Amino acid sequence: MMFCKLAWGNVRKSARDFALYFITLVFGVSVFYAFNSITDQKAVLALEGQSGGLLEILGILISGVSVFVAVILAFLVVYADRFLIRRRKKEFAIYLTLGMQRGQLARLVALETGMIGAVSLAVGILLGLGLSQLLMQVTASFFGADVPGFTFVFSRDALVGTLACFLAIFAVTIVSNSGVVMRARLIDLLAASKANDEMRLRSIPLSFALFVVACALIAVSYWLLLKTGLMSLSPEFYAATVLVCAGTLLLFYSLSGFLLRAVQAFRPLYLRGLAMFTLRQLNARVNSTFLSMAVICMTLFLALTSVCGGIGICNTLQENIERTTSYDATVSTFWGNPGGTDEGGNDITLYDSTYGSYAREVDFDMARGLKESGALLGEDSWDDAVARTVQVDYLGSTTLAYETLDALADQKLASRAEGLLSSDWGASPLLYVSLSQYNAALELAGREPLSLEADECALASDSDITIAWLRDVADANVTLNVEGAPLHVIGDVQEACVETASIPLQSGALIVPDEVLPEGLMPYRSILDVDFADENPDAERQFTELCASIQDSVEPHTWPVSSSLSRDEVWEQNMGLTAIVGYLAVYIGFILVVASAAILAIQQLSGASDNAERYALLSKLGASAKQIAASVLVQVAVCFAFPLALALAHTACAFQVVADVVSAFGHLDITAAAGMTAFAFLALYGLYFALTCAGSIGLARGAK
Amino acid sequence: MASSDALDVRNVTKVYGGRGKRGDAAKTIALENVSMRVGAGEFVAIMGPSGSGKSTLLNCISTIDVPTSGQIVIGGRNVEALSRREVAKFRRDELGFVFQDSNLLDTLTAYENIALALTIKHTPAREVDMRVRELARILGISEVLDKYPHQLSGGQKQRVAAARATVGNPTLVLADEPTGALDSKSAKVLLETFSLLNQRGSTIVMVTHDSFTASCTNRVVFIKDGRFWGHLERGSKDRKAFFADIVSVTTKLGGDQDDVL
Repeated sequence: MMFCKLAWGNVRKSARDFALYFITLVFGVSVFYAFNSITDQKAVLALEGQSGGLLEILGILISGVSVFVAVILAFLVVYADRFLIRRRKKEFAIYLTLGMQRGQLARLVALETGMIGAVSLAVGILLGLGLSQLLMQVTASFFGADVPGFTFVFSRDALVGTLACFLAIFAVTIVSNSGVVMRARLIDLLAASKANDEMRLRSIPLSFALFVVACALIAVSYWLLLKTGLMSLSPEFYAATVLVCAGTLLLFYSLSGFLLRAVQAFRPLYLRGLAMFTLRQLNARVNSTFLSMAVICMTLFLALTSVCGGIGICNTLQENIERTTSYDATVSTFWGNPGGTDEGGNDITLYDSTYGSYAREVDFDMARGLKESGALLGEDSWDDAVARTVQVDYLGSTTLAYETLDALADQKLASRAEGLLSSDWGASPLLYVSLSQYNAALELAGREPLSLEADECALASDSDITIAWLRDVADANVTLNVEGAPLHVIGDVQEACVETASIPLQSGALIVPDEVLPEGLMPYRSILDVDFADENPDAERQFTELCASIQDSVEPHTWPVSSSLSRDEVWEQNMGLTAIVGYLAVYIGFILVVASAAILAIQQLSGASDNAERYALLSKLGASAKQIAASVLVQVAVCFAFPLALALAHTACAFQVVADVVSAFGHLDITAAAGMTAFAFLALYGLYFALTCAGSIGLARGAK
Repeated sequence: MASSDALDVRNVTKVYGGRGKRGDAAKTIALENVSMRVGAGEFVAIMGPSGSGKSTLLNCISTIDVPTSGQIVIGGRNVEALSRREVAKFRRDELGFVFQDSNLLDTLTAYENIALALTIKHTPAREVDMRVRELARILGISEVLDKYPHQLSGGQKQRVAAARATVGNPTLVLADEPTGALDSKSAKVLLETFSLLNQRGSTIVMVTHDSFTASCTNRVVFIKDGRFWGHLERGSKDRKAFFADIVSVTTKLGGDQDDVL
């Protein structure tokens, strides 16, 4: 009873110190609960089929990420608690001198941790419940589902998970604290404040030199990274990683010394107001905080890249979808490389299989083949669902290969799409599409047809990986040998996506007049663009079932379907993928930013309270409250701004590289994504900064 | 003219507590109707046994505490009437402090500690440098200017603190047991420093319980149980004779105390 009173009194007394710790715990708990409850939104939103499946995948991914998040939070809580404990050594010494047992002291500390833990868990879960309602609205809009009236989504699993996770974290914290308290010797506790005052001073010219070295290391690592990219994990990439870590560490180690030296060079600036006090103070502090500042910088960097990258991918997916859903549905058949084998030596072509001979029977007419196959398998009639179709065949060239084109380009494909190419890409034959098929597909999508003279051909690609490269080739103003006919390549590269697909992946084709194509060229891939019958509301379902049943069938007299995708399926997939990537990025980013900001905040606040005596002295010497507040503000600002600034620089550099990776999905729109992310997360970081400033200035002002 | 006084304490009373519901029972009278004057250029010691109220008096003079009644006038200004903002400005412009434990900022060099008193007032950098170096030369601490407090001896620290207190030419320098933490040799050097500063025009008020320290001043004011008890002028006596006078008074002061006990 007495203990509870004492513990509660302690918590209240150091409310200012505990406030940020508490807020951080509440943030952690609520976000942890809200994201883990996403799986249970499935039932409320009545999501089925693909959307339901994607949501389940999201749930599994979030559980996985939550383990990582739990470790970070555990580290944060243990660290923050230790910081708070360390600051109270004198108080503990008084308890011990008054005859309190070590065990009792450990119990007191455990009780305090428990109290804050219980309150923050309760508040956090309440907030989490609110947040999960908000997330459900977001999920609903992603999947185009309706939120049925006023529904309260409550996830028992998420609640149990959150409780279990945080109780475990508190248990670890209590054990760690007890260890600190039990090991502490009275003499050390009493001498604690003296030890605090001991200064480790470093040579300032050395700091200056180290700072220059740190900048050089970081510059070299940027250069290495930009030169080699992320695609292959080359020695350069590892070197860049090591260098950037070393450079960051060194930079924060030498930062304050550098600042001090730089400002000292300008006497009028240095000998002005509290400038020298502020800089000396920073220099004294950074000795003990440089490691955490470096770690926080790298954590922020990780958060920024994951969030910017994630949101960038989402934007890209959203941008692509208009382009890749011009048709109600597309069925595609990969014939494979005629006569080719895979790595195991197995025949990989469909062309020579029994399905291939069926395709020959129907003269490679997909619509006919699918219609007959459907009838054979007893499905709903093809004609009920389908109004119009256009078939596009990609035929393998016998005279042109990718390397033929590459020889004509100024910038080789290897340098544009490193890591995305297979080893034998150069020898792969170029694919032809006949002008009539291409124009029929364009017409079905409601687009203007392409016109070519008899001696002209056009390069086509819908993939960002190769478009620039093909433009390069087209600019060379060349004539190609198309099965013996010399055709001039027109300057415009065709970028239309002539199928419905998740991701535009048609990386290169040559559109040629029908007359130049000889009989008997092997198709590599055939697609059938489908327009559903408008009057049949069930067309999409019928068509999807028909294709699925043909694809699954082992009956040899059916058309070989490699894949079929309807526009709605692509939308669902796309939205689902957007939701997964977006949620994960925001979840990870949020936790990382909060953890970093909280550690900085706790360090700064305890620093301000350790320095209370110094501020009191300044006040006696006649420094105005305004001057002291400004000095505190500058100190806090430096500790918050520098890790962020360097993290932003790292991110900017990394994004030059990440953009290449993401280009596989299409064009990466970084600017908008970066803006959004920067705003949201800077606001959060700024909140911690503001709270820390207010708290620190209060501590400095209250000093007597 | 009264305003030529550096310090004029008029009927100052300081009562702690007693404003609560419990009434007068909790009241502690720390100072009762104390008056004293210090003329410009004087070097005065305030002496008294512990608990006599000398520290309270110093706190009131230094604007760290506010008297319950009475007036304190420093350099012609009524200090208890100053607003919070004016107090800070007043302290930096009119007062210099020397504390028992020197209270130098351990992160700053000796030079910077002295300069701080000037930079707070936005003195131009060139003038700061000139004044700090000149004063350091006079006080014999030029060699230690680039050292940090933890590299200095106790005596050196106090001399740096004295330099900090006087570099801004304040109206009044207040010293609270400046020799309290020093060995006798360092104490002597510090007192010589104070005398030197006094000869250069500083007005110094020093609280001490040490008779030797007090004997270096021109005048000693005695306080007991919160009341003015008496004062001794040095006049033309040499330090030893003045010291003997002080000792006889403090013995009497202490004797009275023994009677009470």
